[in-house]
Amino acid sequence: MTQPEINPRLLRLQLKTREQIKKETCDQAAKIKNRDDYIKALDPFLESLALSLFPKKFIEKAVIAPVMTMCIQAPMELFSAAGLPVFKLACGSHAAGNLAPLQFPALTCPMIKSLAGLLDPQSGLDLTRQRFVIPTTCDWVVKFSELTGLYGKADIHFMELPHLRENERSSRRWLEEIQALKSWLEKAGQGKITPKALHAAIQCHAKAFELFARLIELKRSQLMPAIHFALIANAFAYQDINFWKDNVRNYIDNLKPMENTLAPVLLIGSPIVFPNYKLLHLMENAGMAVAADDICSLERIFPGAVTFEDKSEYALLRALAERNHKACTCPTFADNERRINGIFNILEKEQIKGIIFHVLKGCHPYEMESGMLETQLKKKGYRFLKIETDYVKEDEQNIVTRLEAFRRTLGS
Amino acid sequence: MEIGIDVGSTGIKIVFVVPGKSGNPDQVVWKIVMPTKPGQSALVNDLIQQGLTAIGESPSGIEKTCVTGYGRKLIQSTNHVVDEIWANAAGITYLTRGRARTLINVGGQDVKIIKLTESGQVTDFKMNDKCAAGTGRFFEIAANILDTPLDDFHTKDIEPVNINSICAVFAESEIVSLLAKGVNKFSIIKGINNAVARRIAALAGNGILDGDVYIDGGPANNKGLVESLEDQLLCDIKVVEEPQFTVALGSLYVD
Ligand code: SF4
Repeated sequence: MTQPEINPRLLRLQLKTREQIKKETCDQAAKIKNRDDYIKALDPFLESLALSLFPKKFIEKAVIAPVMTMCIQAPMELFSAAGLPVFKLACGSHAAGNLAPLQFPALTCPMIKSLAGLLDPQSGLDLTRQRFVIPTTCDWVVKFSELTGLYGKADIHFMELPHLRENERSSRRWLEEIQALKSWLEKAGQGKITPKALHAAIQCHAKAFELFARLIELKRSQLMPAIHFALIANAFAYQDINFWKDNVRNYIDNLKPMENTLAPVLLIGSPIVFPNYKLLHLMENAGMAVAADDICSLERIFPGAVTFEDKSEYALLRALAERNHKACTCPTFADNERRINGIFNILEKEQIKGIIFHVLKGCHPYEMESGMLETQLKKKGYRFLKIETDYVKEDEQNIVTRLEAFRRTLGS
Repeated sequence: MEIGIDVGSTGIKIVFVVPGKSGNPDQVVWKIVMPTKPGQSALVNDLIQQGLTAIGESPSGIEKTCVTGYGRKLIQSTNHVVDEIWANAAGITYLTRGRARTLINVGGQDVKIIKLTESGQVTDFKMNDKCAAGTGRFFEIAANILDTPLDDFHTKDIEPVNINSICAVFAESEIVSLLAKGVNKFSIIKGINNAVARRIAALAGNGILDGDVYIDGGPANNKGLVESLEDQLLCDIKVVEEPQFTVALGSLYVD
């Protein structure tokens, strides 16, 4: 993209915003490092997340230029098999939103707005040279490239997500999308993705999934704080998979024993992305632990295990397609029974009585599902609290009052 | 003697209660409401001193102090800190002898709807987020511009004017421009009451109201609001006496 002349005010705004992003990152890191449960093994995750807020630096440091991806529907195994690292398009910085282009509506999903600011074309990052993979999930994601002016300029591969799952036609269409992604990655990466490379990538991710399942177990037994879990889950999208696995093993080995005094709750709804851990901190202060979650940036980063019949290319691609479509509980699906069933399963299995529904203002898909879930959960006697917020700090007091009152409704 | 303190966003409310002996009800012996201002901790201490002097007691006579409300964490030297939702539920339960099943609280900067059991246990609640539209703060501004105390916001047979904004920030310009156009003051008041009632009804949705419905908080003294709310929510709404003290009182009764 040719860089238009920058007006001095905009330049000041950019500098100021970058300073603020740095401050947000440092504040969040300091908050985590000041906790009694902090261990040095968290540092690699913190470092990757801090770097993710400066995409230009991130890309300059990378040996191979990463592909920028959104959401969780594009199977990571395919990128690994193509030898391409990824940079997840997600952002939790409040300040970054200041740089979002003017054409973004006032009530834009804060995650999308911040992301647009983070990718501000004036940041020195030539976006036209970047490669993007965008699954068409919610409307904000669909319109993202147009709103940011990337459409038609950058190399964007859209994956048309069929919004019905339990249906043969949709499954077929999605498999075609996975095959098309493979072809696109072959062109973008190091040539042909062989079944052998794909199988190896699937095995490698399966090991990561095993480790992640161990983390989920630790968190659910309250042997690991939810904030640590969030750091590790968020950082997955910015680290080489083997590096991430080593870091996780190191973390597990060094984890301090902790006292289990908080009331377990299930957190569901819009994504929680570093450094916006406001709700996690406030919940903890109010005496609750996120023992389990159903959030696409936390427990749901791995949609599940891949099961295949044989090692042929078709069987492997089909297995990936099924896992990232059928097993995904993104609220943009029209038939989302699986989500509510999954939630009931977690609640029963983990003996959790309370659910907190996090809605980012402007995130319509989760907002739409919140009412339906509330009715169904309350009917079964669960306590339910919806917290609608964004990346600002000003509503913390209001949220604390609600969280403390909600905590009491859970009893001892 | 026990002291209940509600450090709200716009007002500090304090009640002194002497626990009833041998089955007699507790007795409120002194109470005060003051606008919140910076230095809440010192202000609360001054007010307590004022109360002690008024009833001829000394600090050694204080058996228990409980604090609730937005500024609850700013007040030191209290035995018990509790969130205002549970304090509110406990207060209304005490005052209605367990009859209230739904409580609408119109606070200084928020509105809450609380569902509770006979014993004052909160089973569900809704609360508006950070916007102060349609709350006590908004009524305060409106009462000021209209030069009419909240107690006189009672209007029966008058056509309401349509109020577009119940935002505490934009209220002033809208009310001023209506007055400038010569719109009757009581039409504006009725319009305001209806607009706030609609907002509360939207927060309630169609699920949370159950059993006997009560309203409290300072704006509950506005009978016009209560009428508009009854119209919107299609139910009777009861008001306890001096509804601005329920939360402070209730802080003493939360287990
Ligand atoms: S699903 Fe919600 S949080 Fe995610 S991008 Fe869409 S609107 Fe934003």
